[in-house]
Amino acid sequence: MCTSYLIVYLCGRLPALATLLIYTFIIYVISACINRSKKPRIWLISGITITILQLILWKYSDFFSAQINENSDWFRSNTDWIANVILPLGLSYYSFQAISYLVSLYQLRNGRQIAGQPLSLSALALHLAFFPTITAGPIARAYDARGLTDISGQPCGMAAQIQAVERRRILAPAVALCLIAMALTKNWWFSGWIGDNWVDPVFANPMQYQSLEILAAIYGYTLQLFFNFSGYSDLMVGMGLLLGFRLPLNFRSPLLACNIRDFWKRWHISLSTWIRDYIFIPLGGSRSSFIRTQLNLLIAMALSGIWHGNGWPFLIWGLLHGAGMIFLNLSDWLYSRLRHCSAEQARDSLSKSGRVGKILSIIITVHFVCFCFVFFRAPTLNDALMLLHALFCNYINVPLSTNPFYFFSLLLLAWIAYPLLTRLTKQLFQRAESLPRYSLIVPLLLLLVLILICAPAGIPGFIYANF
Amino acid sequence: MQTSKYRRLPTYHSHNQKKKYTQFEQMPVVSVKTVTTVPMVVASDEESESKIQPSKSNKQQFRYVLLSLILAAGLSLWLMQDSVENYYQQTYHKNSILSKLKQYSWWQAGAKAALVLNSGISWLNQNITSANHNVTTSFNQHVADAEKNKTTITQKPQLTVQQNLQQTAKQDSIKSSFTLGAKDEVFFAGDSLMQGVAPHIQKWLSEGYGIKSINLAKQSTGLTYPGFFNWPETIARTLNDNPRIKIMVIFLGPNDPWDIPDPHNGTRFISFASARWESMYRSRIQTIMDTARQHQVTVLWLTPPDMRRHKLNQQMVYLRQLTTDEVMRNHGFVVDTRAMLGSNGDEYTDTLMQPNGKKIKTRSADGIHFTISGQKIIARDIFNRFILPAQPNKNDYSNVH
Repeated sequence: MCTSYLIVYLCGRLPALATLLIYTFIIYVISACINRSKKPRIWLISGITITILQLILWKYSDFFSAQINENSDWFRSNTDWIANVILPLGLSYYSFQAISYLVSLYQLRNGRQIAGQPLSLSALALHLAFFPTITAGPIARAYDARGLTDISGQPCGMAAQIQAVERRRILAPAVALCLIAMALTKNWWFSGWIGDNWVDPVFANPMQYQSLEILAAIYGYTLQLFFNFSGYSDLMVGMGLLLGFRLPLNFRSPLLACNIRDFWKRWHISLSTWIRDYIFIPLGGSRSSFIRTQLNLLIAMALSGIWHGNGWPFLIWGLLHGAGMIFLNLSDWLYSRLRHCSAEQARDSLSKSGRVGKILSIIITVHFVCFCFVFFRAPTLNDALMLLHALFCNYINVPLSTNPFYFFSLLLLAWIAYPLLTRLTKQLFQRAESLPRYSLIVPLLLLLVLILICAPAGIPGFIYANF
Repeated sequence: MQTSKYRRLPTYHSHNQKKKYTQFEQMPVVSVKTVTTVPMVVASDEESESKIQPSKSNKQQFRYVLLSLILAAGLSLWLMQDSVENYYQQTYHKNSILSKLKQYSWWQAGAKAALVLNSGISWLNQNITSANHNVTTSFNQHVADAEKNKTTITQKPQLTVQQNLQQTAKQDSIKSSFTLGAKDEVFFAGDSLMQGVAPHIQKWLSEGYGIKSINLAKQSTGLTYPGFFNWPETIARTLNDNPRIKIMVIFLGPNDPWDIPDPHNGTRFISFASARWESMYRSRIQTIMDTARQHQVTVLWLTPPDMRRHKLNQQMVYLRQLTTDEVMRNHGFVVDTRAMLGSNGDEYTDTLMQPNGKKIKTRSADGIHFTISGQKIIARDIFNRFILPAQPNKNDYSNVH
């Protein structure tokens, strides 16, 4: 926790630290009120309102100022200050964890059982500012949640871990070291190489590239994002283990998802479960009519899009994912009508239909995801449309400047090897602790040398730290 | 809805609902079947036991982790000593503590090993690049340059460009050096200032005229620390690999006012603005200009604008003068970026007064970089110097704002 506060202080000096401390204190007071007062609901709503207000204040002030055409110098200089000071803070993750904590307490008041007690002030400060998760997640929950598990498949609520009586100890050091090495490989080497060579130049100036190169960039960006963010999450899970905390896993081979619903169960899991529990279900979830359910989905996904950043491209990205989900539900419904089977049997019917169906469903899903991420990457809507325009029009008279076929063949190889790799890493994690302890050091060091030599120059960036 | 063993139903959930959440299915119970696609470690009895009743003491674990981390850090430093040293010099402008180890042969072995590994990797990369280059060339010959079937677009008069050109280009020779054909390319080199400016010009060139460009701008680079990033070498390689480059635009300076490590004596530094420093800096500009001349490439060299910090600003005054002199002597074209951003002589201002009385903020909060408007002003100035093909390629000129 102290490390975390130190980092915040270094990034943002006093104002940011003060903001953080005051905010933590407010959340603590509200949580105490939820526990004691006669009207916990009012306190819960006020807590969520405060959180959302400060999130909007820090995160979207730029967007609103652009919309209102606010041109006064004072505001300008202030947004600069905000951009340079507050943004490295990973505010959204704070807010997420705070809301989740408050709602859990409220549910506790209403008779739900949870593992762990309400947190004390210092424990809450630690939970909100836990050093590994401070910049880009994973969004840890104070109490266990369905679908969020640690690396060994156990539920991993933070409250129980923070309040543990026995002394904190290093958990699974060998697994942690493997995770950190893997994270470096993914984040620094793969993500950096793909970004520098295949993605950034094309997105910067799409009109001068051939359609195939644009396609390579679109695939490449999805992969870059995956390597970057899952690498980061691995790093944090590994660090957490070394500090004696079990953090939730954030990725489970998302690029092997057989449909968009499945994709969200494997990609940024801590965010998707958060959206499920605190947006989708309170909106009514799937308990009302079919149409209302789809609307709830769309709202939840659109909010998830807006959370990633201000501006239309992110909203469109969210809406596209929502639309994809709705389309999937509609097709499930149609299938169950035509085949006269239950809704349960209709789910994932294409991927269940056999090997060809499975491969086909994965290919379709991955392409849909890649297509959506174009809006995620392009700085403005116009840029995204231009890129798509170039994709469909630049196949004549535009010479290649790179060799996308090389990249495609690498992608294909990686994708074929992917299931095998996931199995291998799983086995490695299972056996890592039982292997002789020092046997892992040499391979890990060799891997490190490989990364050092092959990784592109420069400090790797964490894409998701900006959200 | 079923309940999982970890989570009781939320209280606001009505119990008589039969429907499931359609979006989020129940977490699959991990079985051997699902394990094949879900990289999730199944908690085996053995493992969970080891977590509850650890077989190794915490001290042992700690020792193990510490040793691993120290080994990893040591190995990284030993191998990457040159890069670390370069980075340190470039950031703190003195020798790092690592340079004291240089006298030991085991330490030097690390640098040699890194050199061998790096040259191996670059040999591999070169082979891959040349193989890729062959594929690209054959593809371009057979597929891309197919019969042209473009619709001709009515051309808009480009008065502004023409007028500007009359002001800037007075002789035919200058005109020809700024004339770009449809097949010509433009090359941008520079630091973070160029990173802001180049993309605008690149966009206008490719959208309006189908002209390709290469942008290698990289933040924190300059001419003083070739060990960190070697511009003369990079430029030579780029011009060699891309024979179609006709114009090179360079924007360097703010990262340069530092002492240079003495090439003959690693422990000493040559202080900034001394006679030796100046001759070294000039020779680096000279190298770049010579390379450009060999490839018949026009050089457009942008000098840095005024800076808010007084000391940096004074250093820029000196560097501007030096660069301008050296580039002019080698028949390059110098672009002074001060006036177009609203500053008056060597005085820093961050706003530009337009003739209609409107103020535009051109500099960002740090007093070094540009706002988007500032970037566009410089980009426009450069773009207007180019004499472009008469027939715009795709869109008309109106999308260049």
